[in-house]
Amino acid sequence: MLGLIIQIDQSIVLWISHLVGKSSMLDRLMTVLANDYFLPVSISLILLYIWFMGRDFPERHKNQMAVVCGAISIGACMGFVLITNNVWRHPHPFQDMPQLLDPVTKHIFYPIHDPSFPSNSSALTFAAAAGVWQFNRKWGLIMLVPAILMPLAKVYAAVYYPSDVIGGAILGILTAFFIAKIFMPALHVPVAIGVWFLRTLRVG
Amino acid sequence: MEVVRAWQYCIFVFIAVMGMLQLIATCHQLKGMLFIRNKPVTLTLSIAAIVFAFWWFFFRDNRIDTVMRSTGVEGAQQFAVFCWTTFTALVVTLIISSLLQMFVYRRREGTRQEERLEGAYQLRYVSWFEALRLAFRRRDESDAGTHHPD
Repeated sequence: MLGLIIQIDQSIVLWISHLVGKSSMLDRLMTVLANDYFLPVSISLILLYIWFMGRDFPERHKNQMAVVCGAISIGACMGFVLITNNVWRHPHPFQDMPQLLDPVTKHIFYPIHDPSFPSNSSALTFAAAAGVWQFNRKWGLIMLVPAILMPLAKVYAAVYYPSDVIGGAILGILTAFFIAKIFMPALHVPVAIGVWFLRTLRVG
Repeated sequence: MEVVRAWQYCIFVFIAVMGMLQLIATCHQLKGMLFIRNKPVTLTLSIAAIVFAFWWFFFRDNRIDTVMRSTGVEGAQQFAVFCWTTFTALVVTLIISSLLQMFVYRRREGTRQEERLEGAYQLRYVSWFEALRLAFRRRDESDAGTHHPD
Protein backbone atom coordinates (compact mmCIF):
# COMPACT_ATOMS: atom_id res chain seq x y z
CA MET A 1 0.00 0.00 0.00
CA LEU A 2 2.77 2.44 1.02
CA GLY A 3 4.76 1.45 -2.07
CA LEU A 4 1.76 2.22 -4.27
CA ILE A 5 1.29 5.64 -2.65
CA ILE A 6 5.00 6.46 -3.17
CA GLN A 7 4.73 5.33 -6.81
CA ILE A 8 1.66 7.51 -7.44
CA ASP A 9 3.33 10.43 -5.60
CA GLN A 10 6.49 10.18 -7.68
CA SER A 11 4.62 9.96 -10.98
CA ILE A 12 2.52 13.04 -10.10
CA VAL A 13 5.62 15.03 -9.08
CA LEU A 14 7.46 13.96 -12.25
CA TRP A 15 4.49 14.94 -14.39
CA ILE A 16 4.12 18.35 -12.72
CA SER A 17 7.88 19.02 -12.76
CA HIS A 18 7.81 18.73 -16.56
CA LEU A 19 5.98 22.07 -16.57
CA VAL A 20 8.88 23.87 -14.86
CA GLY A 21 10.84 25.99 -17.31
CA LYS A 22 8.09 25.97 -19.94
CA SER A 23 6.59 29.30 -18.94
CA SER A 24 8.59 31.94 -17.10
CA MET A 25 5.34 33.59 -15.94
CA LEU A 26 4.11 30.38 -14.32
CA ASP A 27 7.52 29.74 -12.76
CA ARG A 28 7.65 33.23 -11.31
CA LEU A 29 4.09 32.91 -9.95
CA MET A 30 4.97 29.60 -8.33
CA THR A 31 8.15 31.13 -6.84
CA VAL A 32 6.02 33.83 -5.21
CA LEU A 33 3.38 31.36 -3.98
CA ALA A 34 5.89 28.82 -2.65
CA ASN A 35 7.81 31.55 -0.85
CA ASP A 36 8.13 31.31 2.95
CA TYR A 37 6.96 34.87 3.47
CA PHE A 38 4.37 35.83 0.85
CA LEU A 39 1.33 33.75 1.80
CA PRO A 40 2.03 33.44 5.55
CA VAL A 41 2.19 37.24 5.84
CA SER A 42 -0.89 37.63 3.59
CA ILE A 43 -2.82 35.17 5.77
CA SER A 44 -1.76 37.04 8.91
CA LEU A 45 -2.90 40.35 7.40
CA ILE A 46 -6.26 38.78 6.55
CA LEU A 47 -6.56 37.54 10.17
CA LEU A 48 -5.82 41.09 11.37
CA TYR A 49 -8.60 42.41 9.12
CA ILE A 50 -11.07 39.77 10.35
CA TRP A 51 -10.26 40.71 13.97
CA PHE A 52 -11.73 44.20 13.48
CA MET A 53 -14.60 43.10 11.23
CA GLY A 54 -18.31 43.02 12.11
CA ARG A 55 -21.35 45.28 12.09
CA ASP A 56 -22.38 44.71 15.70
CA PHE A 57 -20.99 43.25 18.90
CA PRO A 58 -22.10 39.58 18.42
CA GLU A 59 -20.72 39.51 14.87
CA ARG A 60 -17.45 41.10 15.97
CA HIS A 61 -17.17 38.63 18.86
CA LYS A 62 -17.68 35.73 16.44
CA ASN A 63 -14.99 37.09 14.10
CA GLN A 64 -12.56 37.56 16.96
CA MET A 65 -13.18 33.99 18.07
CA ALA A 66 -12.44 32.92 14.47
CA VAL A 67 -9.07 34.69 14.63
CA VAL A 68 -8.28 33.25 18.07
CA CYS A 69 -9.20 29.75 16.83
CA GLY A 70 -7.11 30.20 13.65
CA ALA A 71 -4.08 31.45 15.60
CA ILE A 72 -4.22 28.71 18.27
CA SER A 73 -4.74 26.10 15.53
CA ILE A 74 -1.60 27.28 13.70
CA GLY A 75 0.47 27.07 16.88
CA ALA A 76 -0.89 23.67 17.91
CA CYS A 77 -0.53 22.31 14.41
CA MET A 78 3.14 23.30 14.21
CA GLY A 79 3.65 21.34 17.43
CA PHE A 80 1.95 18.27 15.95
CA VAL A 81 4.08 18.59 12.78
CA LEU A 82 7.26 18.63 14.89
CA ILE A 83 6.13 15.51 16.77
CA THR A 84 5.27 13.70 13.52
CA ASN A 85 8.62 14.74 12.00
CA ASN A 86 10.46 13.18 14.90
CA VAL A 87 8.47 9.96 14.62
CA TRP A 88 8.76 9.48 10.86
CA ARG A 89 11.39 11.05 8.61
CA HIS A 90 10.22 10.95 5.02
CA PRO A 91 12.50 12.23 2.22
CA HIS A 92 11.56 15.04 -0.14
CA PRO A 93 10.98 14.43 -3.86
CA PHE A 94 14.27 16.20 -4.73
CA GLN A 95 16.06 13.73 -2.42
CA ASP A 96 14.36 10.65 -3.90
CA MET A 97 14.81 11.96 -7.45
CA PRO A 98 18.07 13.99 -7.43
CA GLN A 99 17.65 14.78 -11.12
CA LEU A 100 14.94 17.30 -10.05
CA LEU A 101 17.14 19.23 -7.61
CA ASP A 102 18.83 21.71 -9.94
CA PRO A 103 16.34 22.20 -12.80
CA VAL A 104 13.19 22.19 -10.64
CA THR A 105 13.64 22.73 -6.90
CA LYS A 106 16.46 25.29 -7.06
CA HIS A 107 14.74 27.04 -9.97
CA ILE A 108 11.54 27.68 -7.97
CA PHE A 109 12.42 27.35 -4.28
CA TYR A 110 15.33 25.90 -2.30
CA PRO A 111 16.03 22.42 -0.91
CA ILE A 112 14.63 22.41 2.62
CA HIS A 113 16.01 20.24 5.41
CA ASP A 114 12.90 19.41 7.50
CA PRO A 115 11.29 16.02 6.87
CA SER A 116 8.76 15.97 4.07
CA PHE A 117 5.76 14.41 5.82
CA PRO A 118 3.54 16.15 6.78
CA SER A 119 4.02 19.35 4.79
CA ASN A 120 4.29 22.12 7.40
CA SER A 121 3.15 24.86 5.00
CA SER A 122 0.06 22.83 4.12
CA ALA A 123 -0.65 22.17 7.81
CA LEU A 124 -0.23 25.86 8.67
CA THR A 125 -2.42 27.26 5.91
CA PHE A 126 -5.16 24.66 6.32
CA ALA A 127 -5.16 25.08 10.12
CA ALA A 128 -5.67 28.84 9.67
CA ALA A 129 -8.44 28.39 7.09
CA ALA A 130 -10.24 25.63 9.02
CA GLY A 131 -9.91 27.56 12.29
CA VAL A 132 -11.56 30.63 10.77
CA TRP A 133 -14.15 28.46 9.00
CA GLN A 134 -15.41 27.11 12.37
CA PHE A 135 -16.72 30.59 13.20
CA ASN A 136 -16.98 32.41 9.87
CA ARG A 137 -17.80 30.27 6.83
CA LYS A 138 -17.32 32.99 4.21
CA TRP A 139 -13.81 34.04 5.32
CA GLY A 140 -12.89 30.43 5.98
CA LEU A 141 -13.58 29.68 2.33
CA ILE A 142 -11.64 32.78 1.21
CA MET A 143 -8.66 31.61 3.26
CA LEU A 144 -8.88 28.23 1.58
CA VAL A 145 -7.48 29.86 -1.60
CA PRO A 146 -3.99 30.57 -0.15
CA ALA A 147 -4.26 27.28 1.76
CA ILE A 148 -4.45 25.39 -1.54
CA LEU A 149 -2.06 27.59 -3.55
CA MET A 150 0.97 27.44 -1.25
CA PRO A 151 1.25 23.62 -1.01
CA LEU A 152 0.43 23.34 -4.72
CA ALA A 153 3.38 25.59 -5.53
CA LYS A 154 5.62 23.45 -3.32
CA VAL A 155 4.55 20.30 -5.18
CA TYR A 156 5.35 22.17 -8.42
CA ALA A 157 8.82 22.89 -6.99
CA ALA A 158 9.26 19.17 -6.14
CA VAL A 159 9.66 20.08 -2.48
CA TYR A 160 6.71 17.97 -1.28
CA TYR A 161 4.82 14.94 -2.51
CA PRO A 162 1.03 15.27 -2.91
CA SER A 163 0.60 12.83 0.00
CA ASP A 164 2.70 15.13 2.25
CA VAL A 165 0.40 18.01 1.34
CA ILE A 166 -2.75 15.95 1.93
CA GLY A 167 -1.32 14.71 5.24
CA GLY A 168 -0.55 18.29 6.30
CA ALA A 169 -4.02 19.46 5.26
CA ILE A 170 -5.73 16.67 7.23
CA LEU A 171 -3.55 17.45 10.27
CA GLY A 172 -4.37 21.18 10.00
CA ILE A 173 -8.11 20.59 9.63
CA LEU A 174 -8.25 18.07 12.50
CA THR A 175 -6.25 20.41 14.74
CA ALA A 176 -8.59 23.32 14.00
CA PHE A 177 -11.62 21.10 14.67
CA PHE A 178 -10.08 19.95 17.97
CA ILE A 179 -9.27 23.53 18.98
CA ALA A 180 -12.75 24.84 18.13
CA LYS A 181 -14.80 21.99 19.59
CA ILE A 182 -12.74 20.82 22.57
CA PHE A 183 -9.90 23.18 23.48
CA MET A 184 -11.72 26.53 23.25
CA PRO A 185 -14.88 25.43 25.13
CA ALA A 186 -12.70 23.75 27.78
CA LEU A 187 -10.54 26.85 28.16
CA HIS A 188 -13.44 29.25 27.77
CA VAL A 189 -12.45 31.32 30.80
CA PRO A 190 -8.78 32.08 29.85
CA VAL A 191 -9.84 32.81 26.25
CA ALA A 192 -12.61 35.13 27.47
CA ILE A 193 -10.17 36.88 29.84
CA GLY A 194 -7.70 37.40 26.99
CA VAL A 195 -10.35 38.87 24.71
CA TRP A 196 -11.74 41.01 27.55
CA PHE A 197 -8.22 42.34 28.22
CA LEU A 198 -7.78 43.32 24.57
CA ARG A 199 -11.21 44.96 24.57
CA THR A 200 -10.36 46.96 27.67
CA LEU A 201 -7.22 48.16 25.89
CA ARG A 202 -9.52 49.13 22.99
CA VAL A 203 -7.73 46.94 20.48
CA GLY A 204 -10.27 44.14 20.39
CA MET B 1 25.11 34.76 -1.15
CA GLU B 2 22.53 37.28 0.00
CA VAL B 3 19.65 35.98 2.14
CA VAL B 4 16.57 37.54 3.71
CA ARG B 5 17.55 39.31 6.94
CA ALA B 6 15.32 39.61 10.00
CA TRP B 7 15.44 43.43 9.86
CA GLN B 8 14.22 43.40 6.24
CA TYR B 9 11.34 41.13 7.23
CA CYS B 10 10.65 43.42 10.19
CA ILE B 11 10.42 46.54 7.97
CA PHE B 12 8.22 44.69 5.46
CA VAL B 13 5.78 43.53 8.16
CA PHE B 14 5.79 46.96 9.87
CA ILE B 15 4.82 48.86 6.70
CA ALA B 16 2.27 46.22 5.63
CA VAL B 17 0.60 46.16 9.07
CA MET B 18 0.52 49.97 9.29
CA GLY B 19 -1.16 50.01 5.87
CA MET B 20 -3.59 47.28 6.88
CA LEU B 21 -4.52 49.10 10.10
CA GLN B 22 -5.28 52.28 8.15
CA LEU B 23 -7.33 50.22 5.69
CA ILE B 24 -9.27 48.67 8.60
CA ALA B 25 -9.79 52.10 10.18
CA THR B 26 -11.16 53.47 6.89
CA CYS B 27 -13.41 50.51 6.11
CA HIS B 28 -14.86 50.33 9.64
CA GLN B 29 -14.95 54.09 10.27
CA LEU B 30 -12.57 53.87 13.23
CA LYS B 31 -11.82 57.59 13.09
CA GLY B 32 -9.78 57.40 16.29
CA MET B 33 -7.23 55.23 14.49
CA LEU B 34 -6.92 57.28 11.30
CA PHE B 35 -3.93 59.42 10.35
CA ILE B 36 -5.81 61.27 7.62
CA ARG B 37 -9.55 61.84 7.90
CA ASN B 38 -10.24 61.67 4.20
CA LYS B 39 -11.60 58.28 3.12
CA PRO B 40 -10.41 58.18 -0.54
CA VAL B 41 -6.95 59.49 0.40
CA THR B 42 -6.51 57.03 3.28
CA LEU B 43 -7.85 54.16 1.19
CA THR B 44 -5.36 54.94 -1.59
CA LEU B 45 -2.42 55.47 0.77
CA SER B 46 -3.11 52.33 2.82
CA ILE B 47 -3.35 50.10 -0.25
CA ALA B 48 -0.22 51.82 -1.63
CA ALA B 49 1.61 51.11 1.64
CA ILE B 50 0.70 47.40 1.51
CA VAL B 51 1.64 47.10 -2.17
CA PHE B 52 4.90 49.02 -1.59
CA ALA B 53 5.82 46.76 1.36
CA PHE B 54 5.34 43.63 -0.78
CA TRP B 55 7.17 45.16 -3.76
CA TRP B 56 10.07 46.34 -1.59
CA PHE B 57 10.51 42.97 0.08
CA PHE B 58 9.94 40.64 -2.87
CA PHE B 59 10.57 42.39 -6.15
CA ARG B 60 13.12 45.23 -5.79
CA ASP B 61 16.52 44.38 -7.31
CA ASN B 62 15.00 41.19 -8.73
CA ARG B 63 15.00 39.63 -5.25
CA ILE B 64 12.32 37.11 -6.22
CA ASP B 65 14.84 35.40 -8.53
CA THR B 66 17.80 35.62 -6.19
CA VAL B 67 17.28 36.17 -2.45
CA MET B 68 13.87 34.49 -2.26
CA ARG B 69 15.29 31.25 -3.66
CA SER B 70 17.44 30.68 -0.62
CA THR B 71 16.66 29.99 3.00
CA GLY B 72 16.42 33.05 5.23
CA VAL B 73 14.60 33.80 8.47
CA GLU B 74 13.83 30.51 10.23
CA GLY B 75 10.19 29.64 11.09
CA ALA B 76 10.18 30.30 14.84
CA GLN B 77 12.16 33.53 14.38
CA GLN B 78 9.73 34.56 11.64
CA PHE B 79 6.80 34.05 14.02
CA ALA B 80 8.48 36.03 16.83
CA VAL B 81 9.48 38.90 14.52
CA PHE B 82 5.98 39.01 13.03
CA CYS B 83 4.25 39.15 16.45
CA TRP B 84 6.54 41.84 17.88
CA THR B 85 6.45 43.95 14.73
CA THR B 86 2.66 43.73 14.49
CA PHE B 87 2.35 44.74 18.16
CA THR B 88 4.77 47.66 17.60
CA ALA B 89 2.91 48.79 14.47
CA LEU B 90 -0.40 48.69 16.35
CA VAL B 91 0.96 50.71 19.29
CA VAL B 92 2.68 53.22 16.97
CA THR B 93 -0.55 53.61 14.96
CA LEU B 94 -2.63 54.17 18.10
CA ILE B 95 -0.16 56.69 19.58
CA ILE B 96 0.31 58.69 16.37
CA SER B 97 -3.44 58.77 15.66
CA SER B 98 -4.18 59.83 19.26
CA LEU B 99 -1.62 62.62 19.07
CA LEU B 100 -3.08 63.72 15.73
CA GLN B 101 -6.58 63.74 17.25
CA MET B 102 -5.30 65.80 20.16
CA PHE B 103 -3.31 68.38 18.26
CA VAL B 104 -4.56 68.40 14.67
CA TYR B 105 -8.15 67.15 14.55
CA ARG B 106 -9.98 68.70 17.49
CA ARG B 107 -12.85 66.40 18.44
CA ARG B 108 -16.18 67.78 17.30
CA GLU B 109 -18.46 64.81 17.90
CA GLY B 110 -20.49 64.52 21.11
CA THR B 111 -19.59 61.92 23.72
CA ARG B 112 -23.01 60.35 24.24
CA GLN B 113 -22.68 57.69 21.56
CA GLU B 114 -19.23 56.52 22.61
CA GLU B 115 -20.50 55.54 26.08
CA ARG B 116 -22.53 52.74 24.48
CA LEU B 117 -19.62 51.20 22.60
CA GLU B 118 -17.15 48.63 23.87
CA GLY B 119 -13.70 47.60 22.67
CA ALA B 120 -12.00 48.85 19.54
CA TYR B 121 -15.26 50.22 18.11
CA GLN B 122 -15.10 53.08 20.61
CA LEU B 123 -12.35 54.35 18.28
CA ARG B 124 -15.17 55.32 15.91
CA TYR B 125 -15.79 58.35 18.08
CA VAL B 126 -12.70 59.01 20.18
CA SER B 127 -8.94 58.58 20.02
CA TRP B 128 -7.22 55.65 21.73
CA PHE B 129 -5.94 57.86 24.59
CA GLU B 130 -9.46 59.19 25.15
CA ALA B 131 -10.98 55.68 24.96
CA LEU B 132 -8.56 54.42 27.62
CA ARG B 133 -9.28 57.43 29.81
CA LEU B 134 -13.03 56.84 29.50
CA ALA B 135 -12.64 53.13 30.20
CA PHE B 136 -10.68 53.71 33.39
CA ARG B 137 -12.98 56.55 34.49
CA ARG B 138 -15.99 54.31 34.00
CA ARG B 139 -14.35 51.55 36.01
CA ASP B 140 -13.57 54.00 38.84
CA GLU B 141 -17.20 55.17 38.79
CA SER B 142 -18.55 51.62 38.93
CA ASP B 143 -16.11 50.79 41.76
CA ALA B 144 -17.41 53.81 43.66
CA GLY B 145 -21.02 52.78 42.88
CA THR B 146 -21.83 55.97 41.01
CA HIS B 147 -21.99 54.53 37.49
CA HIS B 148 -25.32 54.91 35.72
CA PRO B 149 -25.67 52.73 32.60
CA ASP B 150 -27.29 54.32 29.54
